[in-house]
Amino acid sequence: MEHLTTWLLILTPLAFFVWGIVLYNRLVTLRQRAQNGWAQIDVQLQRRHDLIPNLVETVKAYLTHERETLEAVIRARQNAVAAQTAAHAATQRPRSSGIPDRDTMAHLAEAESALGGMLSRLFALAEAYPDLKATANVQALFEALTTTENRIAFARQAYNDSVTAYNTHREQFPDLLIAQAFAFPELPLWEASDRSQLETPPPVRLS
Amino acid sequence: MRDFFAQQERALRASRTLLLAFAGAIVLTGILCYPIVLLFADTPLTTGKWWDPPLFFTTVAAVAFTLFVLSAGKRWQLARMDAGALAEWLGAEPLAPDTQSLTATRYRHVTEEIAIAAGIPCPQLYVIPREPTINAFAAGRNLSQTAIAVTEGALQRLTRTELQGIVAHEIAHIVHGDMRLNWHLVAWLYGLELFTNFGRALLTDGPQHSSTPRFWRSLHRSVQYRQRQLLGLFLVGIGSLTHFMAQMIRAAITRQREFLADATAVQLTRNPTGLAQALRKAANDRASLLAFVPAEAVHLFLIAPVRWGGFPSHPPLGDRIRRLEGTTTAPLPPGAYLEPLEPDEALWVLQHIAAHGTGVLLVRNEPHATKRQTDDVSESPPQTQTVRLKSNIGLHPDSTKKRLTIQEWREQLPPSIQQALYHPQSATQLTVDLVGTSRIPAAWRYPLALLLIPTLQRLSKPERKMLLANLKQKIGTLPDRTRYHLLLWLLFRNSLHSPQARSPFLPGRMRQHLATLLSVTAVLGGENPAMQKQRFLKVVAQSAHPDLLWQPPESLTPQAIEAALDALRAAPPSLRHLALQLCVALVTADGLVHPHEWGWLATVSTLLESPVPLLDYLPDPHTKGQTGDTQP
Repeated sequence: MEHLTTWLLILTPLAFFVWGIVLYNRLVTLRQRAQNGWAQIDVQLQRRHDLIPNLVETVKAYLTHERETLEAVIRARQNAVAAQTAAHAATQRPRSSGIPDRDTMAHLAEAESALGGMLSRLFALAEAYPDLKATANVQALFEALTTTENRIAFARQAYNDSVTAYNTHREQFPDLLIAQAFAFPELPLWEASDRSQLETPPPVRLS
Repeated sequence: MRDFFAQQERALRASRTLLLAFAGAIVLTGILCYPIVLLFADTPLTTGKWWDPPLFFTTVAAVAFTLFVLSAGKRWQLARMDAGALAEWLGAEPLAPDTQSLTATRYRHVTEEIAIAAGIPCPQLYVIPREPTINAFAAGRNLSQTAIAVTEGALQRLTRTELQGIVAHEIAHIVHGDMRLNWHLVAWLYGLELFTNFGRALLTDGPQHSSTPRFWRSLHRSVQYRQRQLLGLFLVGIGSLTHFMAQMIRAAITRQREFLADATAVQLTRNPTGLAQALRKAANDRASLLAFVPAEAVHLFLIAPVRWGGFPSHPPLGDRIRRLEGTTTAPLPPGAYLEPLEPDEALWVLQHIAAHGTGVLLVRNEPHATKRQTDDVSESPPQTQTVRLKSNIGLHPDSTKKRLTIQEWREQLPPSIQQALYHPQSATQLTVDLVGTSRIPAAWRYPLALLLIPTLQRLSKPERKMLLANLKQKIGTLPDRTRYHLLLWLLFRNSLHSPQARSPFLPGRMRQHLATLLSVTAVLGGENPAMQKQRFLKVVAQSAHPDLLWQPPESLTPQAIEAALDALRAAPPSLRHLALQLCVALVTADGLVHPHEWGWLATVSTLLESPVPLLDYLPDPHTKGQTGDTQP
């Protein structure tokens, strides 16, 4: 009987300890997944920023009457690049989780959403220029832009899914205890306000 | 499909249950072997003991282990093949990495996008060349080593969104590990097959050649011939039974995995329409070059290219599309309509229906068609934009018209309606709408009804009866009941109701019934009553029965029309043929056949079981005086 009590005294804390390790590892895995998701978004945003100068250069010859739109696209891109640089800087700070904090993220999401709005406007404009759409070079560029836009959307979806899973675990008991003890931060969702886009529908010319 | 997670859960639960059932079939093989072991061990005869738990469990375990060993070779063979080799074995070619064509780039981009959404490395890309149908498959042992292939037809014919849908379906198969699951199932099936073959070998007296292994021959010598036969018979029986069960369960599992992949594809793309539209396009495909795909690879495909054995590996396309699109039917947009046809075209359409079921050809006038030059202004129908008839034989002498097959017409319908056409339950709903409301444009009614009938015929007999009762009641309560409703009702009743006992042929009443039928037909022309009567009298005067009496519209009650048609059904063929010819003469008298008129002719033709007169009989509308009677 005494043996049993001794064993219980040894084994119970051990069991809790092992359980704690399992919980900790799960949180780390989830955080890792969210970080991967963020890296994927970052890559795709970079890709978008790299594509735009090339695109503007190519369509400029056709869209001579759309100078303002093209300039707006360039401006939106510059804003987005600046926001991305700020986000990079935020992740380099000490004790960062590798993902920008909420405010930086919101700022970047805003800038990217504005850029996305301008691009969809450019798409709509291009519809009105059949000879532009027919050029093989432009077709390839638009295909590249479409896939980048889709990748951003999918990467955002994957990132938000993984962040939600992580945050849910982080706030639930008993993971909560581990998260508190080891300072697992809450991660921000990528929430672009698409409303500005909806309120100003892109002008489509029927000529 | 709004709730794709619920759909996934449903499919996953179903496939888990089925996997248990599959394991059950394997265990059942062992359980069935127990009596044989008892019999051959002679224990019950000596000890009288029939239930021996240790022996029972040993038998079950031994049989299951034997099946496992028998299936190991197949499992190894299947698992050894790497994704690329499998793709090439199935006739696919790798997509050249430096291809700059737009379709190839798009395919590569779409796959990379979905791989990001699924969080897996991008699979190797393959194309099935020279294959015109829409199809795709996925292969791979594990997530790091996978391949997907799509047909050249899919690359050429699908839009970007649709291609995204089918690629997402294939990637969903990869994510769920369906390839691996299936090797195991196929391997177990193979084990059961070997088991049966062993029994068969015992039955057929076994191999006696000198080349057979010695232990086999000694085994044969040691067991009595009769016992050997008995054992073989048992093993063949057990093996065949469980093999059959396992095959059925495996097909059910792969069907559930298809639903699962569809639901996951929606989760990945957040867009059910892409995949649904792609499946729709594929539903009309014929003549695939993929007909020689081996049985163990059929489950890999998006759409089963060929059906092996009795159990379909994929759910019906209609069911998949229905689950993707949900079941709500949206109201019809206004302004969609069919143009009236020229008489020759209308008759051609009707004969086409008779010959090919629903393969109707509809004709639509282009807006710039020339105005009709009417011979008689008073007789011209309200439509002005129709084309003058040039010839009474052959179709479309006029190049300003566009032909539409009924399939093409169907594709122009709103997606909700197209979807309703596939599925009996929603088709029932649509039928009730068709008869009961004025939401559906009048010109659509007959073509829609003709499209609906094949689907409705898939309903069970009680369901069809209930639908008809429902329709009858609905029509009875309509405040603005018109003859269209009655005609639709008759069309549905006739095609959904098994032919009832014919009423006896009463020659004395035939004259009255014929007059009723012709009056209805004349009334459908749609002008003022005086004109209807005038046309009726003109046609009747030239027929063999000039004494037929005009029935005023108010006397044409539904009961009277129904009774007339039922009575004429019992008439001799020559009389039915005459009735139909007179109807044609009435309908074509004004040189135009409206959609509701050809719908009516089709109804009468099916009701009277008499073909629509041939084109040679066709009246020439330029010489209106001679329209009408052509005695048989």
